[in-house]
Amino acid sequence: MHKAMTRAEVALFAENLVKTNVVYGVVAKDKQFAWDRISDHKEMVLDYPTTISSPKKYFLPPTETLIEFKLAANPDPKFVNHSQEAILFGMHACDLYATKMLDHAFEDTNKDPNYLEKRKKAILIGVSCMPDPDCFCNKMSVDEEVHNEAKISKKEALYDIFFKNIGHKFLVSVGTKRGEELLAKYAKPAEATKEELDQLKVVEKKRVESFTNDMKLDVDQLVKLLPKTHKSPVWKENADKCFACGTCNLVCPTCYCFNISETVKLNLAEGSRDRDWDSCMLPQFAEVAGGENFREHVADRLRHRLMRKGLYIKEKFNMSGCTGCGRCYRNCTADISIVKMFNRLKEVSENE
Amino acid sequence: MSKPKIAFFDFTSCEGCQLEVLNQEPQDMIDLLNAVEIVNFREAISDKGQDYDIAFIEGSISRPADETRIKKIRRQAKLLVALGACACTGGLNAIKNKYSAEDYKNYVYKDKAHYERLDSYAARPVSAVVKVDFEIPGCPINRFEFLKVVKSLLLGVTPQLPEYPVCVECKMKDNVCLYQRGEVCMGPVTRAGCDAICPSFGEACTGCRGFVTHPNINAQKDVLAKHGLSAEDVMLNFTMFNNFSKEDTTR
Repeated sequence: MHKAMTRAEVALFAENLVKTNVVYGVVAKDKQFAWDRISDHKEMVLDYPTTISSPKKYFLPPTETLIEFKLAANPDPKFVNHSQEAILFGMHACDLYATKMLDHAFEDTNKDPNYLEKRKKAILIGVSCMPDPDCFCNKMSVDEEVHNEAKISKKEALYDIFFKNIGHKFLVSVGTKRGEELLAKYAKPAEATKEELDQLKVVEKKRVESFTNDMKLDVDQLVKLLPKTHKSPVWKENADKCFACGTCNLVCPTCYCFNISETVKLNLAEGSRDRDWDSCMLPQFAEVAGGENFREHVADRLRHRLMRKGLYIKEKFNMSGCTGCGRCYRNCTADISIVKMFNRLKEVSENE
Repeated sequence: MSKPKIAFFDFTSCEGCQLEVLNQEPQDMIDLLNAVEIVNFREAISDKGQDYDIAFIEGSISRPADETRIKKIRRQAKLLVALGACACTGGLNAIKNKYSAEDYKNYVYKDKAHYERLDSYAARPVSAVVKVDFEIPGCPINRFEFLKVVKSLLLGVTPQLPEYPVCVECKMKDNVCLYQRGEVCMGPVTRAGCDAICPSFGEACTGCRGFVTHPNINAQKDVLAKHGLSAEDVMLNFTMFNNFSKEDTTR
């Protein structure tokens, strides 16, 4: 089921893809890493710890026009949907899992054509990683979902192709027919040998043992714990140091809330309906006409965010709302840790 | 519909905000001139029309004579819009408010400090003297935000400023956070709308657009201190563009 490719072969594969396709990948950005359009495959890195923001921006852009209209008796609305065939090369397990979760959200009751069309035209190529101290995807059912061989054989893989780094080589797992065709077209991988498959087991064991996070709850335990924490003092404890700046939402691979607004051009004859990323941590998020705000206090908003991550999404889509990617903590200026908050909620709840 | 007549006036300022008004893309400038009639704009035209509907005011009020002039403008204008940090918060001009007149005059003007025409009182935002209908913050203003506000006024809609901090715009652009580069930044408490222009070019936000409505000032002080700033340097970050306080007008 696994094929094997040398690093040089993978580089050649990437080069071939970049030559003839729109490829997004990970590039170095000032000692950090970010998703960007790849014009030269040599800029693309496959060994990176994490990226600032997640690749969700290619399916749900930070700002996007949905409709263009005229300011006239007949507004003559035109639906706008800029989608194109694209390859996302180098997605970590957490972001593959998050993409599946977003698919559920945008396929739900109201199908979102702007998201779904971009998503449908995208090929997802994953790459294995080693956890950094803030990663806790092992507790958030991400690992097992992405590497679930049974699902792959049922063609429910979360990726089209997945590269597993075993040091001198990558072992390649193909998740979909599309992935198989792409690989066949641009590379000639050999079947993995027994030694290489043994090496994969060693590497995967090492990966599992490399997690050093302190997360004390798994997905099912969170679902049991969180409904009891509405009045917990933990929300206020963290609200006091929180800027409510929205960073945690915006870098989160599973946050998908957006705001819709209409703007008119200066000629006062045409306008557009646009959507921008929104964040439930921002003060206006739950404010309605008349000035009533359902989550006026930062503590209310922190609680809502963690409920989404640990409870509501799980109830709605039967997937974890948190992938354990650790971006919200790494990017938090106030050093508020979601792991510490979950653990503290557990601790306080047990002492009640 | 006849075009609304607009005018620009400057008080204590560098006139850079008015320069931003002029610094538009050609088509935007054409659309702007199709939408409004500019009757008074010392930096751009020689007309001195006094029959304006909307007055845009750049600069802070820093002399008694300024008050007379701004009150006259207010009487004429149906709408008065403050343009830029000096007009909205007192801006850099208000830094002097915490020093004695003798100290700042000697520091700035040296041997000319005794010139009478250099006399001024505590710099204050326009809103400290007359009613201001809307404020476009920033040092300088963002020219796109200026156009947005003009559009809103033309449509009879109250313009909106972002209620969120600069961090939002940095994240939307995938910027590397300055704190993660070991630097400090006022972004977490500063009102967005500038498209995070300074952090996008590697420079720290200095708060020129004023604070968000509910800034977590204590958290910001803690974060600055944690990144090695002395108590004095922490305060300098807060007072560069936001030094004016109501008490200044009584001194």
